[in-house]
Amino acid sequence: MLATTGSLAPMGAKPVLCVGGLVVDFPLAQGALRAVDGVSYEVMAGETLALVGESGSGKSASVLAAVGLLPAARTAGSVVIDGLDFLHLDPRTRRRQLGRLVAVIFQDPAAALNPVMTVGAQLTEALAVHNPRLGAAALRTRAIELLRQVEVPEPALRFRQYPHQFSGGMAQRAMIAIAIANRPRLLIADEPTTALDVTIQAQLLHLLRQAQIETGAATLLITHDLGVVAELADRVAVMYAGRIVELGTVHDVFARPAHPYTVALLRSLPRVDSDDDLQPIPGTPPDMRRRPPGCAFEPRCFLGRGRTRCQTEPPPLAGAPHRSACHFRNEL
Amino acid sequence: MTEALLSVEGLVKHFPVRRGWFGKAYVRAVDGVSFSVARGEALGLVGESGCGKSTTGNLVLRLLAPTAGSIRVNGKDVARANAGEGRDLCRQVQMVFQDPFSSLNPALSAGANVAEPLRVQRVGSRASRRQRAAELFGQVGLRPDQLDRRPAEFSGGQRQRIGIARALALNPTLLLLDEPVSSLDVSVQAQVLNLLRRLQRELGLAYLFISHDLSVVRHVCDRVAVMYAGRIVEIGARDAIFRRARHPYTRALLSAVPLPDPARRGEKERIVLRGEMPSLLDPPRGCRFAPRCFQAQPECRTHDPELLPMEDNAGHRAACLFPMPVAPH
Repeated sequence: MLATTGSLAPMGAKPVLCVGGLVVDFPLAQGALRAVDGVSYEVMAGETLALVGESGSGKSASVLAAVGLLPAARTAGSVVIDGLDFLHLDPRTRRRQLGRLVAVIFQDPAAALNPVMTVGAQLTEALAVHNPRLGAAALRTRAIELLRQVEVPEPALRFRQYPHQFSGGMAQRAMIAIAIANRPRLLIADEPTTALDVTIQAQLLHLLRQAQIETGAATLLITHDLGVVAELADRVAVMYAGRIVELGTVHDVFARPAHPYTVALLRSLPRVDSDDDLQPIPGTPPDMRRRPPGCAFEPRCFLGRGRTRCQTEPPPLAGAPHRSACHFRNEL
Repeated sequence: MTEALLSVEGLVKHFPVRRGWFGKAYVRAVDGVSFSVARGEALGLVGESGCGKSTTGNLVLRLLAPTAGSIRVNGKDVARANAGEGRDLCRQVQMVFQDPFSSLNPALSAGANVAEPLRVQRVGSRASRRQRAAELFGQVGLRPDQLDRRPAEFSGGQRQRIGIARALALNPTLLLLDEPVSSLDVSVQAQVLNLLRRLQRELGLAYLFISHDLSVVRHVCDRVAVMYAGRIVEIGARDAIFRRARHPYTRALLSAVPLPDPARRGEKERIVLRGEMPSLLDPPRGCRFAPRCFQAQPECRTHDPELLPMEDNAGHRAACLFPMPVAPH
């Protein structure tokens, strides 16, 4: 069994991914929409950092733009992966690192897999691109071995089948096989189990944990599901309106949340193990084109109660190791 | 027991599919489902994709015709309803859809969307319909000055409120809600769930609440029916299902939900089921859950279990030859 507290990384290890002051803008006809507004974090080898937030919080945009998967976005800041300045790499070199240094598991495997290629062909392609010296027979053996590793039954038969012959859960297993094929240093899982049923999700969460232990990759888990975070992550970054509002170990953030948004989110969550009344968060997240000048959560906050400082001054992400972007965190 | 508002008996829906050149086969989407919903009661219908919960809902709404079985609303068989009775049934049973972005008419104002059922049923004058829409807006927590805005100007949570207001326009006795909060963010989900609970209490509404999300069902429903592969495998009061579940599938389903509590990681004994739901073209002969069941006996593969009462409460029934013992608390 795997240790469940803290990071799995050895002390003093260098981060695999280092994001600093990342800004992501989407150019629109009415002017740029700032989806991510100065986000900084690090992920160590063997560690899982969860980026959690609601739709539009910038959790996906901040990661996909960082690795060059959002060509329409304008980015600024720094993204260093394994010593490479990823944001300023020329697109061809960057592309060559995708699938080797960085691999992504997407939410919807049916959309991410190529419908007119067999699953085996897609797996061998992923292997062949980064291992040009491997022969056809060796590629095939390795691909079937990978399918077995992600517990696809009858891997030799499945190798020859097309994605439409796979169920959602099975297709996501194939995606994970492709992602770990070249032992990436950084594994990005973008809502990896959101499209799946809960009993299949339980299988996949188990598998993701295995895959991470197996590869020792730094893992970035993007999700809206606090249950999945609690299950899989070592550390959590809570995002709201394009910024990180709280960052800490999974135990600290869930047991002693240090930002009113996190506190309110946990109170509003229906739980399968409790009949307690839900306490909704009033209002809705701000329109990103009209972000409040101070703290973006202020209009919905139970702690700010209209204090001038909250309305005028954006709170910095402060404190260590448990960080929070709230002027009045000591009142919580 | 009080008189049932909705009573479903032996409901079956088979969809024909082509197999090979001349062959025909049937997907047994719903295969012998019986349940009832009393006045003012919320029944949750839970299960995973393909278990037949939404097909059951569509049958109740008469969007599909059943292959066999009966659906009664207030004792009246909906299949035998004439045109007038059909209109009356429409008033009694209304629907809230999953996706608030595609279920409102974008060309009509929010108020006109809410008043649309009244217009279709020729209730009142234009002015009185607008009056009623304003009243409904208040009931679901929207402001009357928002009546003339288009759906596109509202957020997801607000649109779902508009959908609920529209469903309430004709004073129904039963609301069918198919995944009503699944497309909403968690911070907004709780607002809509609390609204649904309040409306149910205040208006004495009955709900047939279809959802894959057990946590949501626990917060809204009085009774719960768990479906698997076209059948109900367990049904009972909320506490019976969430605290004293007897069917191994219910237990597995409950244990598979990840808890937002890292301190309990590993402490909770998780049942991870092998495999996936069987094909409904050719379901297993015995218990449909047996191929994935972690405590299946040889008999389970040959005997199809009936939904039988459990000893704790007559309303609690499970379809298992070897119901699991109640876990001590």
